[in-house]
Amino acid sequence: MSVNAIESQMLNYIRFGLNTLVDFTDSFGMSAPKLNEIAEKMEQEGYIVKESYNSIGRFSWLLTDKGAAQLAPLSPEEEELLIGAGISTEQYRILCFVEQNPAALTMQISRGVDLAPNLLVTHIHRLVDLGYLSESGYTRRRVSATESGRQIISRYKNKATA
Amino acid sequence: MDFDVRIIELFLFVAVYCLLMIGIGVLTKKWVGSMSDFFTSGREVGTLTIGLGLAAVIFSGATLPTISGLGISHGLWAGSLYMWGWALGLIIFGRFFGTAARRSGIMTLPEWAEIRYNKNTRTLISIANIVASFGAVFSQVVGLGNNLTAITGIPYWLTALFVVILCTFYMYAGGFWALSVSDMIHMLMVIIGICVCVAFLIGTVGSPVEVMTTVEGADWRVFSFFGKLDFSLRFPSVPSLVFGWLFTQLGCQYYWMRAVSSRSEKTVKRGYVLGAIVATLIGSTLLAGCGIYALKMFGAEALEGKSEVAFGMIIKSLPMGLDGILLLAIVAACMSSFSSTLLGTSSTIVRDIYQQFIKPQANEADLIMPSRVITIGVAVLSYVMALLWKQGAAMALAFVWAFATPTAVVLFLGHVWKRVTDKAANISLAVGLVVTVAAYLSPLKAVIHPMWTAFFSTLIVCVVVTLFTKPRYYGRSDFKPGTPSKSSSLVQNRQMHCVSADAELKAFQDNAHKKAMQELMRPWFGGARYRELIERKHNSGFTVPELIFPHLVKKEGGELS
Repeated sequence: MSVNAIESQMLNYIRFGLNTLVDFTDSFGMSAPKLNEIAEKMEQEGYIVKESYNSIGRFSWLLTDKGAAQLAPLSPEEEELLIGAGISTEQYRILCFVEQNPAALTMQISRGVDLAPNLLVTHIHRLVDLGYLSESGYTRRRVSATESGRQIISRYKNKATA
Repeated sequence: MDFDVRIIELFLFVAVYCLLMIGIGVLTKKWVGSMSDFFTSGREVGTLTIGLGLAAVIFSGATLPTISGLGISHGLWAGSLYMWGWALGLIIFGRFFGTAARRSGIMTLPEWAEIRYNKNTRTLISIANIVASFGAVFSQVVGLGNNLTAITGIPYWLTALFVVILCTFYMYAGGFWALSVSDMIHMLMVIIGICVCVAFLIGTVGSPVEVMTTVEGADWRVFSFFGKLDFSLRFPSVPSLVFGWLFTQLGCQYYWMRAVSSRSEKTVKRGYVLGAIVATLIGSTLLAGCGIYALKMFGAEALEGKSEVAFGMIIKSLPMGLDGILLLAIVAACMSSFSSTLLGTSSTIVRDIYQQFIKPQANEADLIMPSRVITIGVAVLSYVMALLWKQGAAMALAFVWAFATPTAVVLFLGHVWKRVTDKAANISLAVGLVVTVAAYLSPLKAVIHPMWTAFFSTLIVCVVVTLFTKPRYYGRSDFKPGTPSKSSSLVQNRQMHCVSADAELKAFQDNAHKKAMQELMRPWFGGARYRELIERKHNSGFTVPELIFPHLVKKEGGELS
């Protein structure tokens, strides 16, 4: 038994730390109940497991060995970026754009890196969690690179763009 | 002549404020690109906006007179409890449900119900939620229309119409963006208005100590904590004020949508606490205290049996200029609550009724126009209701509390108890809603608030049916969850690696901190022998700094002193 396109994409997102239901809804543009149904089916098939079954952990998933075996192999650069910095090449691209455009609005970044705003928000959220970006602004989000973010950019500059 | 000048002044205040709101609508219209932008503002809202927005929701046209009225009829602290209950509920909601709502990716509360249970639960909760929220929407129209009519003398139908058109305009244009920005301004107006009112009262009537100790009935109004509140299940009572708001927050979409639209889970936690603090500081004892001041100013006889008019009497006694500021505070309070409840109701109708049953294939962009049209439809309906059933607004809060309770019980149980079944949720919701309607129609409501009959019936039915039905896969006793992979090429393991790296970093920082503390606390007086003694004591694990700051200094070996 193998996974379909959406399920495969979902496993891939979890690999990159985008493992919550809100990450899936914003990335796929589908409703939360529908995506939860897909994720629970995958859990029953043994590909993923919920972080917990009560409270907030019910909306986050981790890969099992069976799920990890379904993942497509990464290129050496992607793997190095993922293991070393915990991010994908797409997130690295966002990081570079923000570093060059401090205090950028989501809409500006969306246009700059050519990603839909909803999908972009999941990546920004991940980069903020990792401490590479910081957010500000009362109503609209403004994003800037942190010192750790700048270090990641310089460390992987040649490798990621290779 | 004086009357005319006063009316013109009030008009000017309101007109400038309305222009500001229209400006917000025009500005935020550009930010809306999809339905999720319209209802969740792209999940971009920050802590301050969330906090002030939530505080703005509770300050409605009814809250200001109700709290000051409770201060007179039930006592200062009993009046304060109205807001303390709301604030406590908000903190609990933000900590345990708001963060989960943000992580779940839902847009509406019924969607959460479908995730945890099934489509039928979603439909039942949508109905309960629309009924509850609609009660809140139309009561705001009545409240604001009444207040404006009482102060300006303009006919009620016209003031109510004006309110509906203005709020609907900026909500139509900017959706949740407009709500977020305008709520910040509304709340600032409320803070300014109440502070100005309190400062005026202290300056003209007397200091709080003087007024509180000399007011009629000070022994029970000020010096008794619960005043005339009892522990019955009627309203107002201690259990109703403490739990009623939590049920409402859990069961009403407009509290969930703030969490959903916030920037991160941290923002939710902080924003909900901030909202609780702001509302408590401004709207509890200060407002109840205004009631006590009104008692001192106008006497107990003038307020006998109509304590809720005390706040209006205070406004009328204010000098020109100040009354305009306080009127704006009331207008702002009503507008914020009206806008929030309006958007909450329309988002449920669009997402859980229209998209579910009428246009299942519609995408986000397709739903912008229906979202706007439905927002207008709800506003028009609330205006018609406000004209036809003006007296119904008085029971709107009780109505909201009662109809939100079955939803709150089912969602709470489902969140904390994985065994709860879909059948139990659906049956208990249906029973809870029927019992609520029956409680309203029966004489029982004089003895027990319908909220409590809804609570007990839903809770009992849900628990009993759960024990006799089959749960979802993860609720079964033989279910064994899978084991997370330990493969090194996954972020989930990098997170584990980060934990150990963080621990090393923390140990290094603690050590550096300890050395810095030692240097800082090294005695700078006394002779060499004294310093030597202190240093020796320190190295053996006991120093003065450790006595004073035990949590900051670590003993050698890494154990906390």
